[in-house]
Amino acid sequence: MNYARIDGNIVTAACHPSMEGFRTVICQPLDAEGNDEGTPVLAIDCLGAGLHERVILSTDGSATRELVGDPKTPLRNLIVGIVDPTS
Amino acid sequence: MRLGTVIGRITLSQKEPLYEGASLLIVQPLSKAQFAGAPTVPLAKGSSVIVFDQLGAGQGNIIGFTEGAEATQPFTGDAPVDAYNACIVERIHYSPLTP
Repeated sequence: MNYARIDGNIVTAACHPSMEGFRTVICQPLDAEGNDEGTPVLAIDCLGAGLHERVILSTDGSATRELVGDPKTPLRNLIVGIVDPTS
Repeated sequence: MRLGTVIGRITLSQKEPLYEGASLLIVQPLSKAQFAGAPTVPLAKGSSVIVFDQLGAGQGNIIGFTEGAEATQPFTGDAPVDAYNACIVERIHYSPLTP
């Protein structure tokens, strides 16, 4: 699991059938101090994370396959938690 | 999943049966500045990736591709695929947090 910040989202023209109906967000991985680390990655968000919210990003493919209900999905990254802004 | 620009295409003369009817794209992953709308030429640093495509992405399209074990999930059994095109991107809404 990684610490990241939501920096946007994407709209797709065509996608794998398993992605339909799911929100895809742009996540900026962060280091322990909260500074940007590396280039942004995409993740499926079913929690409704808002712009610039800090999140926990899971890279477990089997959890994502279970969530989207398709064993053939190519997706891996999944938002599993939104960090409380007061923490 | 990462985002990248399609910068080319590969045509095979001999291929695995799995590759019939699909195309192979040469994809350059986007840099942070390109997420924010910077032109995709000159290309971002870093090596490009060959991506298996069944959606029909064209030259210049931005696509979302997955790599590693998940790239083989859409296939039955083992598949010799390292990167898979999961979506063709229409629009990117990107507003990084500036301190």
